[in-house]
Amino acid sequence: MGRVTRRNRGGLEKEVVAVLATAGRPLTPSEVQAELGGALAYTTVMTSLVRLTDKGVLQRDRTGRAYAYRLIGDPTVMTARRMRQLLESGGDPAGVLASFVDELRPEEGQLLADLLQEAADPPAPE
Amino acid sequence: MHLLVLYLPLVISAALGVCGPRLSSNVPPATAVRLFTVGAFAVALATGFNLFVLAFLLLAQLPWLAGVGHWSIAVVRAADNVPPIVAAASGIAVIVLNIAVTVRLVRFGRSLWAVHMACRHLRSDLVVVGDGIADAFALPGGRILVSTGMLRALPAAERRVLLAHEMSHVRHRHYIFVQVTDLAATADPLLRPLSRSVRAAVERWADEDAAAATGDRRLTARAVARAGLAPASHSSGQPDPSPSYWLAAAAPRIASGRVVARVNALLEPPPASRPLLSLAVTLVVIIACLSSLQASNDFDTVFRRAEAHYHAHS
Repeated sequence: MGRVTRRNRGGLEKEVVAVLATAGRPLTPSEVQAELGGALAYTTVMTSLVRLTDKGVLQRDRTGRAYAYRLIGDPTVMTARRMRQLLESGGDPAGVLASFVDELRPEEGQLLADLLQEAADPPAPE
Repeated sequence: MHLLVLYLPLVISAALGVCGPRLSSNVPPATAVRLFTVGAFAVALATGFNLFVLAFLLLAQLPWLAGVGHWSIAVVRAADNVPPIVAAASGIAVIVLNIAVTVRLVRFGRSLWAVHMACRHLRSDLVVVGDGIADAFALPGGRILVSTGMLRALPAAERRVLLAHEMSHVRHRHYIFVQVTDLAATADPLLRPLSRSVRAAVERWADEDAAAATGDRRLTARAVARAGLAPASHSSGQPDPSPSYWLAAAAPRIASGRVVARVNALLEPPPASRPLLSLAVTLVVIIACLSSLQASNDFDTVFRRAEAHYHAHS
């Protein structure tokens, strides 16, 4: 496993935040490490957790013998929908926001589901 | 005035508008975005300047203006071989397009301000918002916004794809390319199709970066497809909805049809670079710029003569 460079650290911190948000409950460093796929060193994960705690993004609580980390505050501080409303109502007239995927036409739903199936099957051996 | 150099950038604008979209899907997305953003900007400037010249040659023959500018109407009239109707149309276009560009710039400023104000109090670079709607945005300034709906819709490996995609947007500041091309298309409406192409290519660029970062194109394709199928209406929080549920939720919407194209592109090998094609487009853009330079030269010559004539006979 390579060293986490400063460039990679930003990405790792984002992944840690995503993991904690999805879990919806406080996680210990081992649990976070497992959720990240288990390929990263424990110390690497710990460093990210500590940095995020120092930044005020995470809160550390003692649970029994270990610490558990959770996201500070209510994630519904600003819903994505409210942001879109804010921006649509005179906030994003220039369209600086682009979402990950556009909305689908009705007939594309099935097509996309088929493609998803196709992408899931391992490719046939040459 | 050489009419060819005056009209050429307009012809090139039209040609790029027609051919640009197909060309942009034949070169790697990163190349397409950079090439067509710079190209659109340069061609829009060249076209705008030429429109101004076309209009001004007629305008300069107004006695009031010629008096203020100290140039001979006769000399200008002799050099002006532009049909008056073309000159008038150009003049109207210059006024209208300048207003449109100003409005567009103001809108851009307001968008940036709104995003800044909405994000003022956020501490993290990745902001998770509790929302059943599956959504993720990269914001100008580098923040990434993801809804819990999106996070729940994707398994762990595909979440990584999503993050890599959004981080590509952040790293390369894609919103700038999109805004510049849109501005160019506002100044030169013939370039509008190009602006749409660049917006699409920006997403393809981020997809390619995500595929490279994860090392798995099929995984990336799955992530895009699954996100495309995820509910865009308020979800009741069902765990692991079946694909048919997602289809029903996605049904009644307006769309741009790019998700399918993106998934298809990811199921194929990465696009090969086409240096000759890129070179051809670059040359066309340079020709447009040189035309404008020549037009500027001609313009300068005419008015120098006109001024000399005025002073010689006053």
